[in-house]
Amino acid sequence: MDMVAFLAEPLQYNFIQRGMLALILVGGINAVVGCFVMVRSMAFFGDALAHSILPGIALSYTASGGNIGSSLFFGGLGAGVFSAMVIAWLTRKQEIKEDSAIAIVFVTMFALGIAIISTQSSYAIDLTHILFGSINGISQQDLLIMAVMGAIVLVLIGLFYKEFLIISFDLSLAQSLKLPAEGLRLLLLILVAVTIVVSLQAVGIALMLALLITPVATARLLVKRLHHMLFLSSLLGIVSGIVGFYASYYLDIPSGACIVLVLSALFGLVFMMQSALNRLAERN
Amino acid sequence: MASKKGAQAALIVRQLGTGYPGNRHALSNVSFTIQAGERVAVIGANGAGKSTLIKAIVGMLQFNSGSISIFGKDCYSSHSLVGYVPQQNDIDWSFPVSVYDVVMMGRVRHIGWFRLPRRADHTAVRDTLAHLRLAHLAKRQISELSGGQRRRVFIARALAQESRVLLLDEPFSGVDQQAEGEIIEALDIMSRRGITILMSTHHLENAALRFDKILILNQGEIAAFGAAEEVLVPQTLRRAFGGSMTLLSDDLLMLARQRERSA
Repeated sequence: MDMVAFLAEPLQYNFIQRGMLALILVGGINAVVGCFVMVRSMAFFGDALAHSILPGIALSYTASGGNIGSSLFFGGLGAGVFSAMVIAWLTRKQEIKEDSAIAIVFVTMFALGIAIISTQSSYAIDLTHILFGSINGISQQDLLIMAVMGAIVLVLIGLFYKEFLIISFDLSLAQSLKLPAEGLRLLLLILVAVTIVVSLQAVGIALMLALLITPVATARLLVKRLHHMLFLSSLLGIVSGIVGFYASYYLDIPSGACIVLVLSALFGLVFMMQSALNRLAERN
Repeated sequence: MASKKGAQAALIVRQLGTGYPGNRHALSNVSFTIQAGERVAVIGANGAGKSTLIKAIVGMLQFNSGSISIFGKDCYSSHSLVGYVPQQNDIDWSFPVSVYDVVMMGRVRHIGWFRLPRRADHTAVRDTLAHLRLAHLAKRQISELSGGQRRRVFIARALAQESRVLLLDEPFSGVDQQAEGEIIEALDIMSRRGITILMSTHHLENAALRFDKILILNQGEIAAFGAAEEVLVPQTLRRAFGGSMTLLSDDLLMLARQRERSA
């Protein structure tokens, strides 16, 4: 099979085209938001939030009569934003440490989600879709919602970039400049929640963290400024989305697993190259 | 030290009581006034409330009582008036930003919401870096800087911010003598611009020689406030630091007198 045919073959089906576009979108948006997740050491928050959206998804799923589609988006978004706000509220005066608050909210919400889903007859199959994603089931409407919400996330990050940079780097500067640090922190948490919900169908809850963290960790090995990291990590996210999509199609492996493995392979490659270069530099 | 000291009060702290979770009464009944352009060093034993005082002026803490006004404005509303150099440990030095980025952060209020830095902001950052002899480090990631350079970058940020009061929390801790000299040079530049400086330090020699006034804190209260030769007396030092400090008081008095002669 020549290269053109190799690349074109999966794209003859509309639902597969939508799947590919979804992976590209998700790869890019997660990497941008992930830059802030990483520099603020919020990896645990990202993972926890991905699990916290489960009861919202489960409720929408039950209400829609067992459909996995865009109706789940709003349920997940509600649960994600709710969880982000509860965590922000619990930690606002630093009486409870952030990781403790996250852990409490995360397990409570996840347990609630499992309880709701277990009332459904097709419990195991549905949970698999939610945990690992279901790229082939993405409708035109789902894709549109992903694109619109993703665009909103990117525009807001662009608009508040310098303020997000300050609250992430030096909260005392934000306070001395009287920036609304708490409001900005909450907005950032909500943007992480929206990103996670947007990505749910493509990669599922279990692998979400890799999309937020791995391309950013790879980019951080290569560049030293946050805005460079934003561009490079989103590029890595998009490339991983495309490569992961073809790997998923030809190897018949779930798309979420493929994109994550591609991201991890890129990270491993860059890490080893960096180590080799460092060793070489030390020797000279 | 050449400072432009005006009659205007830069900082008025009235009966301040404040703290944080774990120590709600870290400071109580603290009152003092600093005139525009003055340099004041805050000294005291560990836990005396030096950092708490500085954080309260920055607006980072809720007050139990009292008020702080900065050039006539409430400290919660006086944005851009206060530049702050936090303790070394309060910053993640591996953060992916360059020296230029950090100094540009000081311009954020001048740039405004939803805007990119304009030519004037880039010019201000470049001029500030040149002024503090940091231009050659502009592209460096902050983790690549020495302790002294890091403090100077934060002082540069306060200068770019066009702040009128500079607060520094232990700027000399963990730096060598050369870096210390560079930080003092940067403070002199700020003083020449008429900027009021309040700095917490354990470095009594610098406090005695290079600052107009010394404020001694002891267990959250003011033990003494005034010129070095007035406050660095055995009785006050014993009260603030305990018995061992009186051994040093003769040296400090000598420093204070030396400063008086050179003034």
